[in-house]
Amino acid sequence: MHTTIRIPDDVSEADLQKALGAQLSLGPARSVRLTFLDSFDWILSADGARLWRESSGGRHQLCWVERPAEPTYSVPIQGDVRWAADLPQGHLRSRIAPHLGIRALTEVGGCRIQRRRGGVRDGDGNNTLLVDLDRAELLGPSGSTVTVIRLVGVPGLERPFKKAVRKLTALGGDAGETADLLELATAAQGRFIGDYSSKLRLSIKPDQPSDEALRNILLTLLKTLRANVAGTIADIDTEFLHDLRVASRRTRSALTQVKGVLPAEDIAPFMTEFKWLGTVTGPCRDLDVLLMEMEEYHDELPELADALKPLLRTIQDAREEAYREVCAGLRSRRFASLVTDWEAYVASETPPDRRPDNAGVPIRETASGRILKAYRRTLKRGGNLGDNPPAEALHQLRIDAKKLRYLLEFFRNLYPKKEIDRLVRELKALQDVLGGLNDMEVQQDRLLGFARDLSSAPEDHAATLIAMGRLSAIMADRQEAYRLEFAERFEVFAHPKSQDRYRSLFGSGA
Amino acid sequence: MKTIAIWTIKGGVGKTTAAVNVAHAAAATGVRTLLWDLDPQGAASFYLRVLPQLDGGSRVVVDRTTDLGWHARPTEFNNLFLLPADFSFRHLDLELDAAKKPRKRLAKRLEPLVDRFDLVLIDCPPSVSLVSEAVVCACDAVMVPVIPSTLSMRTLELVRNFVRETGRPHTTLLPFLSMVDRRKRLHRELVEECLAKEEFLRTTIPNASAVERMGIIRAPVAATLPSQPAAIAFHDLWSEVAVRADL
Repeated sequence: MHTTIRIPDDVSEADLQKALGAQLSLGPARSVRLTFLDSFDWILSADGARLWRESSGGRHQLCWVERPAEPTYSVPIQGDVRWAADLPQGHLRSRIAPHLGIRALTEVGGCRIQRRRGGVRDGDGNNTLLVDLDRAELLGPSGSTVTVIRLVGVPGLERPFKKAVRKLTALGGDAGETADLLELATAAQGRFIGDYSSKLRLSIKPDQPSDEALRNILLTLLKTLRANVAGTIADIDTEFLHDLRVASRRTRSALTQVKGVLPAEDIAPFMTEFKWLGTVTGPCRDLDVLLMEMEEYHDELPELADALKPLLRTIQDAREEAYREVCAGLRSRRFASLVTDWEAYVASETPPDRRPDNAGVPIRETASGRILKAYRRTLKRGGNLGDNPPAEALHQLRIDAKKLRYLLEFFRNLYPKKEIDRLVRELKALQDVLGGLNDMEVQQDRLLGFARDLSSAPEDHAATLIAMGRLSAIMADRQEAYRLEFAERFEVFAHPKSQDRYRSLFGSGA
Repeated sequence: MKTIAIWTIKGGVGKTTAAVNVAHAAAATGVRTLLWDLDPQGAASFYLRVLPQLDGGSRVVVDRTTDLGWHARPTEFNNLFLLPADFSFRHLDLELDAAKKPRKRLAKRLEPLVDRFDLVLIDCPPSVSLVSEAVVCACDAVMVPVIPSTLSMRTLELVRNFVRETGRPHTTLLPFLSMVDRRKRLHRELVEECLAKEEFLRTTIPNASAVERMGIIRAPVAATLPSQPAAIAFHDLWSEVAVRADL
C-alpha cells in the first residue's frame, strides 16, 4: 500500500491536518536536494523504476524504487555515481547494473524539497499510516513549486490508508502522473520520460506512397542523429557515438536499398556527405570497441594487466585523438550544412515532374520487394562461401545481413509482429557471429599496428609485445569459435522453412 | 540473507535497545533489514511505533501455509521493516512443540524472505526454551549482550554451551559489552578483561540516558541524536557485526 498524491497549491497545512486527522504527527522540515538519474535512453525510468540522489546536510544517498508502489530503498554514497561500477555493491548494483550496461547515468531533473516525515498515529502512538510531505521546488527553465504526499500503508490496516486517499482526493489531490516528481522535474528541464530511444519507432501505413514513407523514415533517423550530437561531443558514454553512427548508416542504407523512390541525382551529394560522416567517426568507434574488449581481457587475464598497460595507454591516446577528430567533424560547417540541408530536403516534396516511377507505389509493395531481394542476396552470398571462407567474403556477408536487418526494422510495423520478430531474431543471431568475426579481424589488425608503434618506440616494450602476442592468440581463438558457430547460425537463417517464411511474408501477392 | 539473533538468558541487559539500534544502523547503510520482534512484551515494536499485534497471533510464526513476509510492517526508516510481536507469543513454545521438526521451523519460515531482505535480526525473549532453540537453529550468528558483572559473564558461558549444542556448526557467537558505565571501577576492569578475549566485539555500548530516552522518543538513538556516543557506538557495533557475519 503505497501511493503519491499531488496536493493543489492552495491547500494549506491546516487543511491537510484536518484531512488526515488530529493524529497526524510530522517531524520538523528537512531540506533535501533530489537529483534524478537515468541513462540518456531512459533504461530505468521507462519501465517505471526511479533512481535519484538525495543530498542533505553534506550527506548523499541513492534512492531506488523498482516499481511504483514499492518501498524506497536507499544507500549512502560518497561522490558521483556515473557508471554501474560506481553503484554501491549489493542490492542496488545487482538490480541496476544488468539493465544499465555500458550506459552512463546522467542527471535528468532535480528539485529542492522541504520534507516532513511522520505518520498518522493511533491512541497508543503507533503509526497506522506513514506520511512523507514534500514541498518541492522543481529546478529548470520551466520550474515551479509542487506539494506531494507519499502515503505508506501498514499491512492489515487498510482503513487508515484508504481514508487518507479519499480525504486527499476530496481536497483535489491527484495520484496520477502529476504526482510523479521525476515526470515533473524532467518536464521542468524540457524533457519527458522516453523522449529518446535507440530503437527505431516508426509508424508507416501500408498504402502510403513510397516516397512519403521513405521521407518519414529519413526524418526519424535524422532526429536520432541530432539527438546524439551533444552527448557525443560531451563524451558522456560510448553509445552516443554508436547511435549517431547507426542513424547515419541506416540513412545511407535506406537511400541505397529503397531505390527509385527519390530522384537519384538529389540523393547522390548527401550520400557523399553521410559517407564522410562515417569515415570521420569510424576510428573512434573501433577504438571504443577495442577498449571495451580490453576490459574483458583484463578480467580474463589479470596476470597480463601490468604488461598490457603501455598498450592500454597507446589505445587510450589513439582514442583521444580519434575523439578529437569526431568533435571537430561534428562542430564543422560541413556537418552543420549536412544536417540543415538534409532536413530541408527530407521535409520537402519531390515536384511531380521529377518524381521517379516507384515514388507513388504503396510502401508495402516496395518494402516487400526490397526485403525479399536483400534476403536472396544474403542467402546467395552465404551459400557460396564454401568451407573456409576468406575474411573479406564474410565481411561482405556481414554488410548484406546488416542491410537486410535495416530493411526489416524500417518496415516492421507493416507486417505481423510475431513473424517479423522471429525473422529479426534469426538474422540477429547470424549477425552476432558475423559481427564478432569482423571485430576480431579488425582488432587483430589494430593490435599489429600498435605492436609496430611500440616496437619502434625508444622504451623497452618487450613484455608488452609478448602479452600482446597472447592477446592476439586469444582473438584468433575467438575468431575460430565464431567461424564454427557461423555454419550453424547460417543454416537456421537459410533453412527451407525460413525461406518459406520470407516468401510468404514478402513474396508477390503477399 | 543473513539471520542474526540478539539473545541472552538474562533480562534487562539492553537486548532490545541493541536490536532496534543495530537494525536501524544496518538499514542506514543500505542493508534491507527485517527486525523480528519475538518477545511477547513487544518492546522493539513499541520503540519503532508499530502496533504489537499480529493477525493470527503466534500461529503466523509456526503455520507454514501463511506468508510471513506479508506481515512485515514498514517503519519511518528506509530499508527497515518490522515483524511485530504479539502477546500470544507467550504461548509460542506450545505452538512450536505441536509442530513437526519444531527446532527447524523458524529457519523454514524465513526461507521465502531471502530475496526481500539482506538481514533478519531477531529480538528474542530472555529465556531458555524451545523458542530459543528454534531461533539459534535459524541463525548465522547470535549477538549476546553482556553487562560488566560477574553474573552476566556466567550467563555468557551458559549461552555459549547452549549455542554450541543447539546451533548450526557455523553459528557464530558475538558477545558484546552493553550498558557500560565507565565511571564504575568494576565496569572498567571487566571491560578490560572481556576485551582481552578475541571473541568479544570491540565496540562497547555505554549506559547512556540517550538510550533510556528511546522509550519517550520512540525512535532509534541515531534517528534523533545521531552525534550521541551511544548512536555512534551502535553504528560501530553494526559495522563489526557486518564484517564478522560477512554482510
